[in-house]
Amino acid sequence: MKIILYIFVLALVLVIIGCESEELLSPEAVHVEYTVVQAEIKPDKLFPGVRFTKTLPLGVPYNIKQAELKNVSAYLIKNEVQVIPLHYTSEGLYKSLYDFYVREGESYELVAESNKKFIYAKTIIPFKPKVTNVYYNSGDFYFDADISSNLKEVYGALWIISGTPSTRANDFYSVSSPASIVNETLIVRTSSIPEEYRNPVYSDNWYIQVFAFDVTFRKYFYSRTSGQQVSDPFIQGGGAVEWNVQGDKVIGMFIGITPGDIIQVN
Amino acid sequence: MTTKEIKNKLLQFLAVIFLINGCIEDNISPPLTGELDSTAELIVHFESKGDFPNSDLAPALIDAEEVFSNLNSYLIIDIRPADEFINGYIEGAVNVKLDSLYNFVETNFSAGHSKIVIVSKNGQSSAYFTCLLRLAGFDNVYTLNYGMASWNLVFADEWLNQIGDSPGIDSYMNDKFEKNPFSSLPQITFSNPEESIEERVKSRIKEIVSEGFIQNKMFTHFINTDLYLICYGKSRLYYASRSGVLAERGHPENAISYLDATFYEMRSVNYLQTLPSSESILIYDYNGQLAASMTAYLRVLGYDVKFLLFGANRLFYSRMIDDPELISFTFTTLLIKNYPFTTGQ
Repeated sequence: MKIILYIFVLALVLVIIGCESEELLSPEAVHVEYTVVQAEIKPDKLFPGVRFTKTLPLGVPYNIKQAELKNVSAYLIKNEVQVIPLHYTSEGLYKSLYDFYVREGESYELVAESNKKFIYAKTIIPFKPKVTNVYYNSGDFYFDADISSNLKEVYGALWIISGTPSTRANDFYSVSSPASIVNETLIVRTSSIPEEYRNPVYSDNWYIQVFAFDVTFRKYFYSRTSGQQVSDPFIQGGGAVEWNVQGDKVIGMFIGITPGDIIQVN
Repeated sequence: MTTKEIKNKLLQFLAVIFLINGCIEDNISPPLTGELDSTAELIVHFESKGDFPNSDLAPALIDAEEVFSNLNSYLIIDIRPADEFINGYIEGAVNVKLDSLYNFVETNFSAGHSKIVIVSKNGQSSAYFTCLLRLAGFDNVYTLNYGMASWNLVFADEWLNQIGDSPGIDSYMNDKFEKNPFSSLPQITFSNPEESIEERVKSRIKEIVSEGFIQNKMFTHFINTDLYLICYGKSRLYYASRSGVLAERGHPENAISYLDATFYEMRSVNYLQTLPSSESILIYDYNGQLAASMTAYLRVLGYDVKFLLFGANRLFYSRMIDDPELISFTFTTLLIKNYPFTTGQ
């Protein structure tokens, strides 16, 4: 039996050794530079541009002048055919020479090259979410929304308390799975509203807003550290974040977002 | 189970562990491969330099009066054949053959001339090459408006002979014909793909210059043509008014409107890619000069394009003269300045 135990322990050690990463950080570790791509594209607004920056070494205070990339060759492909060049403007932001409006249902591909590295991303601009019902969950103090969904879209919801000033949730509680059929009813909920607004006397001030995202947002949302500002979705707290921009040592999101109406919850 | 059997089972277990161990770290995504589209790269480059063909600078015309007033400070490049040149040219003009035009301009670009003026007989081939030179980055190149025809009556014979109404004018109409759906850009293959975009643009433009002047004098082709026929200009060039000369005789059948300034429908962000990359295209405009400029640009991008010499001046001149929106694009004897010229070598 000693032999059996010995072999079993040996096997376990081999597994552990095999899984262990051999990349050890040392004080002399060389900084690995990543290209960072950022774009949030919303319908019925002018195309906002794509920001290309690079990561800076630890200890170097963030400075857009140091982080921005000025020599990226980039263009969009709209609806899988129309090439729209992007040009450097300032602070790493690349925009089209001529303004144009983004519309629901359009697809946009980003094709770029930076320092001989090829970069690619694709997103589809979601349709405005069709909210069919909203509810208040008095047990856990959050709002629900029923959504008649489109394919290849996912949804998140925020609570809003109207007033002067109004207050809104910092982040989505969850992001729905994509629907398997058109007009499938999906339910999406907010985080719990703050304790001070749970009293029914505030019920006239309760609102919900649903956001539709390109389907790739879901993996990103669940892989990043939760609790970030919805208006600043590119910050992460570590871990293997699933970005939708592809390329060697490239991270970032190039994502279509369509905000829905702000709806009162009664 | 005997001890031997147990040992065998454990050895099998170990073998499996070794196999798993070897595979655990290998789940790595393949690196993304790809490259930029060559034609798209050209458009990115041209737009980054101001997108001359789709700007209000095009076709960079300069009037005879201005050239006459600046003979000592402008470099005048006459691109007519040598035998035409010696029969009469602007004082100080240099006769340059097309095969050396690019290098000549490149050499003289920074020589202190405030403007470089390209001169042809009728102002259309010069507009064509001016656009090519502008695309190459020579931003002080202009074309003499209406060419030597505006300099002196001696050189205006072709212009005066061409203006008029097309024999097929009775079949012209005001019906609207739709643009093609969006389609892919033409595919260009660079002979020097590893070089910088500046070098690739330079060689591409030299290549187009070396092809010579692309034109189409056969305006009867408008009837039953398989060409993708484009009317490039303002709406009034496409639609004739309901009253007046040639009322409602707007354009040939199948002609498709692409608006110039201020709508700039040939821009990448607008309708450039509704042009078919696998069909021949024929453009007509007001007087051939804007169409020449656009043709040069589109040929650089790989489109098979020609344009109609003298433009609408040879299609419906009487309508243009009658229309306040179009009359400024007509060639008349009032434009001929009868400035002096030099002859001989």
